[in-house]
Parts: sequence; structure tokens; C-alpha cells
Amino acid sequence: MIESERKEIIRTKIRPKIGIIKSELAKVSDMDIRKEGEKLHRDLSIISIEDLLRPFTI
Amino acid sequence: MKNKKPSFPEVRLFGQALNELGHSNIAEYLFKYLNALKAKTYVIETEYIDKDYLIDYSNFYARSFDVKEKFTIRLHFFSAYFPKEDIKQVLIECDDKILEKLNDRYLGFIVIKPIPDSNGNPIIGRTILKTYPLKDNNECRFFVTGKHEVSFFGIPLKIESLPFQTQDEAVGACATAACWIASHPLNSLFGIPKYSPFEVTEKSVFFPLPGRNFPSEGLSLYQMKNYFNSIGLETEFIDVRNIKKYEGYTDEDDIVADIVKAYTKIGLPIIATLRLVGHQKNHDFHAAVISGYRHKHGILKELYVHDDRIGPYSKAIPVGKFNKWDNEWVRSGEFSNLFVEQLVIPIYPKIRLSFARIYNVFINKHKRVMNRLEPLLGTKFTPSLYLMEIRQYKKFIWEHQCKNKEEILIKPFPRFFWIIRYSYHGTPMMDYVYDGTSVFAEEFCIIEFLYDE
Repeated sequence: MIESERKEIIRTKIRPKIGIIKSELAKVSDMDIRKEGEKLHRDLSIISIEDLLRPFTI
Repeated sequence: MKNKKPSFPEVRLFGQALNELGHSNIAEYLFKYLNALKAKTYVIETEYIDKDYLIDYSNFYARSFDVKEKFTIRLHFFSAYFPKEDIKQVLIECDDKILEKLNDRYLGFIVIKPIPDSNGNPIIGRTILKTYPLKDNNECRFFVTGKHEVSFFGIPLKIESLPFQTQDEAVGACATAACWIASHPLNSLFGIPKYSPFEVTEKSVFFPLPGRNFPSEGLSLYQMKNYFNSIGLETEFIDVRNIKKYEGYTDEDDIVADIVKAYTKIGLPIIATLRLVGHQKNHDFHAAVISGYRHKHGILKELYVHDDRIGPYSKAIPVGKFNKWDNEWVRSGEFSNLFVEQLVIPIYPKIRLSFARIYNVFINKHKRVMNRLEPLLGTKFTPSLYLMEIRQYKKFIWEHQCKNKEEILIKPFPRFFWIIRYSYHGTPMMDYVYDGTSVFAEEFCIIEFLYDE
């Protein structure tokens, strides 16, 4: 599909639905999901001492 | 030296290049890579002074009993045949037409250090080679690059790439090479100084480990962090193995692909720490830099990796997801499996909103809502997450049509921000912008792109 065809589809078929996407997203407050974000922040940054001290030797 | 009359450089056929490069695995990889770029000729620059090697020489080799040369050899590669008279013509008469041809056909250079590796092959020094083409049939490639001006006997040549060099065990192992490679885009993005491999190791080992500092026995994650701290940067460590604990993560998600897309967009290099599993179930640990990717409408197909033991832009194919790679380490039969464990991203201290916090919003809000709306919308829009910088983004907005364009362009923006972009087959439809300088995810604005006739 060439760029002009994609733009045509966005203009005619997708743009009318953008309002639905925005209103559905607006229903989920960033504050409401912050707790999971904090847990993920901790989980992804936990690195064991063994991993932290092991030299990369190859 | 000053009385010696230099001879005019020879233009040689590319097929002879291994005579200079030697026969190490890296030399053979570079030969194949340049062959794929359609190299035809090369020119030898003898007695080239390479700053990185000179610093390593003065700090290490100059005090060895068996003193090595301080000069290196630099090979310049071109994708055209031309006689040495052409070079003379540009050199003496500044012939614009030939200069344009030289620049157009320039593939970059490889520095050869005057020190042998453990097998007697020359060690490959600073190497800047052109990337693969940005288009590949109906797929695209994206690379972390910088602009480099090369003085070819005074003739100004240009190349856009990410520098590479292999490890010189005396001054640093793979993690040193990875930090050295990563420091180049950081220099152009944040004005961070660049250091030679010896200096990178020297700064890292202020955090001591029991092994020797020099000859280097390899850096640890702590030491890599220490290096980036010492040059005024923060470091984001992401242990991708721990994503399994996150409830919102589904089979459709790929955290490594998402991180690569998110950080390379702004031009940040990503250091991947790798666990290589041998045939006897032995484990070895390695570090390399992710330098680009191939994609179709934003869906990643393969990664390009600056691996100091393989070469620049080495290909890594996902085995299932991108946390497991099929690449030269596995294909050569040396190891049976390769796993990505952590991704290390050196970042500017003002980028405070961590990847994990914005990734939660990306997965838990945007992707979840899109999945729910799929039947209603009749199609699925998969959003993408990117870290952006104000100048880059406002230029993008300026080049596109969007709702309230004037208001957006004059509106003050934070220097760094995350965007969650909704696209249709790669054409952007809407951006959710989050302040990257805040600690927690806070929506800053929404930008809708217009494609009116």
C-alpha cells in the first residue's frame, strides 16, 4: 500500500473513529495505573549482586 | 621521518584487502560486510595517527619492553574503480566532479593497529563503515548514526555511521568496547567527551573488582555504571527477564523490541548484556551495542549489533522474541543459545521518567484499550513508544500537518518527552505526549495528524 492510499484511509475511515479512541483512553486515568507502574519500575531495575559484579569476559 | 619522501598511495582491488586486514574472524566479517556494500577498491594510508590508539599507546604500550609502533594503517574503501590519477587530480586541482564521485562511492575506513591478537592477526581499530541501505524491498532499516568528516589526505569525505572497534585485551574487553562505541552518539547528543578504550577502562575501574585493571579482565555492570557516572550521565538498567512478573505483558508484547525502538529513535545506543550458553551448558557473559534494526511498518524483523567480537552491524534474528538471538555466536557453532539479560542505556540526567513507568502506561492503558476497541474499530492499531527530544520533534511537527499546528509549535515543551504514537501502516495518526523530565508519567498533550486534500 502506497503512502497516498494510507493517508486516504486515515482521512476517510480512521479519523471519524479517533474520537472513540480518545474518549476510551481518557477513561483510564494515569493515576489509576500508577501502582502497577511502580511495581514494574522496581521489578525491571532489580539486578542481583552476582549479576552486578560479574565481569563480561568474552 | 621528516626527511622521508612519502610515496603516493596505491589504489588496490578490494579482493586483496585481507592481505592488510589479516585473517581474524573480525577481518573476515569486515571483508564480507564490505563485499555486501559492493566495495571495489581500497586505498592504504600508511603511518596514520589514530587518536584513540595513540592515547592507548602512551598509557600502556609505550611502557612495554617490546615497544610497538605508534602509527597505524588506515584503509579507505570505495564502491568504484578509479585510477590513482583521479586522486591526484582532486588532491592538486580540487576537481569537484571527481570529489563528488569519491564522496558518493566512499564506504568508510578501517584502522589497523600495529599490535597482533593472540593468534597473530592485526587488531582492528577505529572503524567507520557505511550502514546497509535504509530500504530493503518493502522493509526499512533504522540505524543509530552520527555524521563523520574524514580527511582523505586532505580531501574532505563524509560518512554517516556508528564507529566500531574490536577489543584489545590489554586495555579493555567487550564491555569497554561497548562503552567506547556507545560514547559516540552520546557525544553528538549531549556533548559528552569521548575517551579512548584505555581511558574508558581506567574510569570504570575506580569501582574496584578483584581482577587486574590492566591487562583488563572485563568490566562488570557496576563498573560500566561507574564509567557513565564519571562522564555526567545516568544509566537506565532494565533486566528484561523480570518482565515475566508483569501481569499486563502478553505473548504479543516484546520488551526488547519495544526498548530498542523507544531509545534508538532519539539516537541513543543500547548496550545489551548477553548470556551465551555453550554445548556443555557452560555460560559465558558478553556485552555488545544494538546499533539498528530492520522493520516493516514498525514491526521489528532483525537487529543490527556492534559486537566487538563479530563486527559492526552484525545481524541478530529473534528466536521467538528478541530476548533470544540467532546470530554469529550461535551460527558458528561456538554456542548453542544466546539470551539477552539486561539492557543498559546511558541517558542524560534530565530524562527522569523511567522506561518502566512509561511502559506501564503504554501496555496497561494504550495497548489494552486498543485491544478492547478492535471489534468496534474493525482494525487493530498497535501504538509505538518513543523517547524524543524537543528539536527533533518540533521539526517533525513543522514538516507535517496537524490540528492546532501553530499553537503546538509555539507551545513550550520539555526538552525530553515520551510519545505513544498511533500509526496506520507506518503513517502517524496521533501522538500522546508525556513529559520525560517528570518522575511519574504525566500526559502533556495530544497531537492529531491531518491528511486533508
